[in-house]
Amino acid sequence: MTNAPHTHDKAEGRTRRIAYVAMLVSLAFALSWIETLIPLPVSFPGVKLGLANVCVLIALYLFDTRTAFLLMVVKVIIAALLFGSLFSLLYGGAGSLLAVLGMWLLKHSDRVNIVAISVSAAVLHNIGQLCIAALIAHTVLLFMNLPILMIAACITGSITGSVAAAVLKALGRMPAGSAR
Amino acid sequence: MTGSGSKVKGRRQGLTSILLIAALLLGGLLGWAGIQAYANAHPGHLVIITDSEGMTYELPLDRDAQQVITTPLGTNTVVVEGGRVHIEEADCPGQDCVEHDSISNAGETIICLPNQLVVTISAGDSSVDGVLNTDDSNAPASDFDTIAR
Repeated sequence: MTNAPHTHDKAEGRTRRIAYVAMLVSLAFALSWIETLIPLPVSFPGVKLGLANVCVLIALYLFDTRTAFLLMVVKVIIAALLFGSLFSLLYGGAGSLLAVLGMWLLKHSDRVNIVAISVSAAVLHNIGQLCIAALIAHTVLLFMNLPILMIAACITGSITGSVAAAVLKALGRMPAGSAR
Repeated sequence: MTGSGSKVKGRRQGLTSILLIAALLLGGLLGWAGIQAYANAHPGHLVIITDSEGMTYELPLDRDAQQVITTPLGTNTVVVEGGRVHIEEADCPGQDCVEHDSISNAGETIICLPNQLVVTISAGDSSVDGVLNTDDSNAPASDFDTIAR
């Protein structure tokens, strides 16, 4: 992890990528579980810390959107299988899809840092979930919950974004210039 | 890119990022304030419950009552008490609806997604006021009635 030389050997790069992705998947897995143990000061349906998103953000910065997307898909499936239901798979899937799309656009624009990307992804995740929930419950009234979810997303997204930034810094790569 | 160049870029990114987060936060706060203002201006009168079968139940908010709703998806017990509504009991896995704070203002909702149950409060005297599209209600509001859609 700390080996410095930028030997752009293709095979080595691929091996590193595989190793990193495997590690991040298991980390996301562990974080999803740890998150269920952390009580939040507020209990509002849909409000979550989203710790596993730290891994997705790290994948986005260390590798690319494709890797982040892959990680997100695996994360959603594992989290739903272990701690959720078919419903969480649907909500999580829709939310994650929107979130990855937003992350890709914002990362591509190169205008905002990792914390803002994290917050935006959290908000988009909530919007995606609300869309599915509104479809299932046949009511748009669910969107009345959006403002509170947005406020919560600003807080939780800032936390996860800052954690990811700190991890990337510790890995010796500044988020700003980590084009692999 | 040079070191100082990336520093300048980092600072610009930081500013844009703070603005973006602030905008999202402000949007959330304004939306929340708007909903609160609307709710305070429109005290609720009628509790409208819609289940997964499309059945609609109406209860007056000012009379304490308990309504058990059972569909193939599950059972929820809705309780009206002292002008507030909450879900007392449910057999859904998440229990989000039971943990939800009680509601009392027009437009507020409690939703049990697994059982597809929607509890909402209407400002009007009957569901014809358009909060829900129940088109065939002409029953007196004070009655405890069930309207099939």
